[in-house]
Amino acid sequence: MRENEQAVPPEEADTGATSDNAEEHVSKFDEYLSTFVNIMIILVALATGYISYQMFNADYYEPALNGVIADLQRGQAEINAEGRARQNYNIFTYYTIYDTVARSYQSLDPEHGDDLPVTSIFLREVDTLADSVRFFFPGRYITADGDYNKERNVQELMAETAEKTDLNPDPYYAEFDELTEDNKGYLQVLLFFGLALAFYAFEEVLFWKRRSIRLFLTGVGTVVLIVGIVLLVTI
Amino acid sequence: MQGFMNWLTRQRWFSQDTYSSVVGLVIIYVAILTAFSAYQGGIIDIEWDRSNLEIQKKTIELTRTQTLGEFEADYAWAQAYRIWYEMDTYAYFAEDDNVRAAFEQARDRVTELSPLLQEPYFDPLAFFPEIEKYEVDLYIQDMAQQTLELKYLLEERNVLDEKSVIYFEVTEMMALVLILLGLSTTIISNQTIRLLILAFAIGMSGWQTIRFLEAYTMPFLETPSEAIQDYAEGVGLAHQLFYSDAIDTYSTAIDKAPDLTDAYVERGFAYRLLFNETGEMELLDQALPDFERAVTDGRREPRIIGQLSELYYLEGRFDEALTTSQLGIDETDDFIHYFDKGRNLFALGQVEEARASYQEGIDIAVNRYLSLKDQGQSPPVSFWRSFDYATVELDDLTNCLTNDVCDQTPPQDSLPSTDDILPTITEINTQLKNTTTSLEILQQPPGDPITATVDNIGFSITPESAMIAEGVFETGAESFSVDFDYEGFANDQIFSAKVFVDNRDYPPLRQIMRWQEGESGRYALPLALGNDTGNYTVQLYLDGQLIGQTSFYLDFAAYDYGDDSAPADEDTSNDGETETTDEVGDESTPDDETDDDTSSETESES
Repeated sequence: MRENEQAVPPEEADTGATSDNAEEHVSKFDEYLSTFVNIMIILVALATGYISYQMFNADYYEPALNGVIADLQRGQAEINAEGRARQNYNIFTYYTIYDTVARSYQSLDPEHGDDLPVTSIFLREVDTLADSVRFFFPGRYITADGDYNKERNVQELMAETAEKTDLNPDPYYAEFDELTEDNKGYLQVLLFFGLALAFYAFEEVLFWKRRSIRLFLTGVGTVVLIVGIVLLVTI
Repeated sequence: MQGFMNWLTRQRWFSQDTYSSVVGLVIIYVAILTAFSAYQGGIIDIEWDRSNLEIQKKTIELTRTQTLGEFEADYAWAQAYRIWYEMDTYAYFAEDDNVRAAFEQARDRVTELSPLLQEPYFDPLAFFPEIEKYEVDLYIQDMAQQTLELKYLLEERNVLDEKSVIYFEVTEMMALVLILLGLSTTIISNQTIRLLILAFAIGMSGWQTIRFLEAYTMPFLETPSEAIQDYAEGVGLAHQLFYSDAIDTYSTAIDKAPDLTDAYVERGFAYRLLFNETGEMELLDQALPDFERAVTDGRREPRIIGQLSELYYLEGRFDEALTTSQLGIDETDDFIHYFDKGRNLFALGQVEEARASYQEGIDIAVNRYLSLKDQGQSPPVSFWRSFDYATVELDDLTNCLTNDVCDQTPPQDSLPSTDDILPTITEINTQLKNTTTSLEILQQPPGDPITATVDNIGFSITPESAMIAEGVFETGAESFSVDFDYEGFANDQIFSAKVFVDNRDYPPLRQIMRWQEGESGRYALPLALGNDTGNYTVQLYLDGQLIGQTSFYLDFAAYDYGDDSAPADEDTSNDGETETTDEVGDESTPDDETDDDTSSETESES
């Protein structure tokens, strides 16, 4: 890289920057430094390629999409289950009212004769109504207290749907969170690598005799690169 | 520039020639800026995707909250309470004690089936459950909060969008600079062009640095969580008709987040609705700046612009009202703005312009309806409400001009003379009523004017004691009908009656039938008197065209629900006695709400 610089340019006599004869030619040290920087640049380039590949693999769109689909399906299943259970509950409401009327009337006046007033005859028929309605909702959700366990009805319907459809978006959302954090981390690493590259590039364009500055730039670049590598390892 | 180059050459800092060295430095700077810009762009893109996901999740959550809440509220009201009401009525009318007891037990059983029929929503002695409070606790307040949170998420995404675009552009421009600098050191040998490229690169880098910093420092909209909670609470209070409390809560929200436009909008509506209850003009003064603020903040929905225009109109500021309605037309071209414009032009005395504006609005509405119909779709409910509201405004204006009742109109002295505008107002009002009824019932615009007439509109009520003054009735009557003479009818024509309570359409009492009563005679149209106190207007239509209307006042407070006295059996007719308004207003009329405009009032139109 620096071979063509071994011949001191004619301008240097004017600059006074090359007055020391011991530094007329590029030293071994400068060659090593240059080689080191070049190797580091290659390493940064390779690492950047690796990170790009990792970022490509850490595609978070898919879990996001799957999560939304599962979320939508869960919402739809919940609404369907709630709607069906609500319909059952509506019919149960009629059932329990008819049943209450019939039972309470029977308990109040079990020995009513045939000369019942019209409304009373209707009440006697209500018992039959209760029995008829009984066929239109699932009886397994009636509790010992005579209530209807709608929540259980909803949960079982949801569970039934979950047998066939994915209703759990949480793992997808968790994966999305993880991958987006990884991607942010990779971006930070790329930034550090980019800065390291800039320091190395700056070192490369400096005149070979500006040794202390070149050393400083190489050092800073290497520190920044190491920080980037540490970050990469922690992802 | 050349001097700088010479200085650099003398210093001998770089290994290459001076130009290449400076280019190298610029390239390094550009590369750093590009790296930062790409990094920020990448981070923002990730945040944008995250924000987008949050928006989708919030939308799903909102839909779920609304749907499940409506399920629950519908059951509570239309099923549980309805059956409670049914059982209670059966028990009340039961002749046998045992039967009554059975129904009472069934009624009490229903109260166990829904929280609506339990404390704190229901006191059986009060008869009506507090459905609004139940809805608020169930989902209305949550929905209001989630809706506003969703808006903020959308705003946040917009900011991310802006930032992302800037970072993208900076990166692109820097790439262009890199290409130019690369060309200048390899292919281009002309010194002047190279210097120009270098100058361009340095200038562009500086400009893009400024843009980068602008994007970097661009603030995100902070979600004012506490203010949003207050706002949602205000929505809940307003839903329960507690407008004063709602106004206070919205004000608290505004104190915490002065840019919360939604709070201004809803506070404005709360002031407006409180004005409807109290008639205090200063409430309009307070509502006005809220709507002005909303419009200034870019809220241009028809309901907001329409409300602002109406407030100017009510305050007699007709020029501003007209400008605002024109703004509405420019923004959305919604037919309601043409009606608003027509109303404002009437107030300015520009009758022909008003007529033209109403006509244009009607044409737009009819075309919209027919276009939707062709596509197998229907307009939203607000379509009909907008028509109804336009007719109510003209009814109010007519009432002000003819009866000096100007509660919902501009100050009377600010209006033009009655003779100048009233005939056209009546004509337009009838046209509006005919159009909406014809579209809704016959699914087509009104046809040729019909010749059928109705006359001598009156009322029959049983028992007689349910009539507590002329045109003022109490609920709980056994039967009630609107009676009228008719002529020129033909069998199979569509006869319909629309009922409005306090100027709002009241669908439960709406009647529609194919006429089978012959050409002429007297007809009694039965109406079920519900429990809603208010001023009732009954409009009679034949083939979608208005042929007559009448009004009465229904007073729930006057009805003694626990009265066991047997109702009278005979009908009491007061046919033709509802023309006079002066008789209303004695001690048996409802309190302050019953003034001249709530009295019985009959008109026939052909």
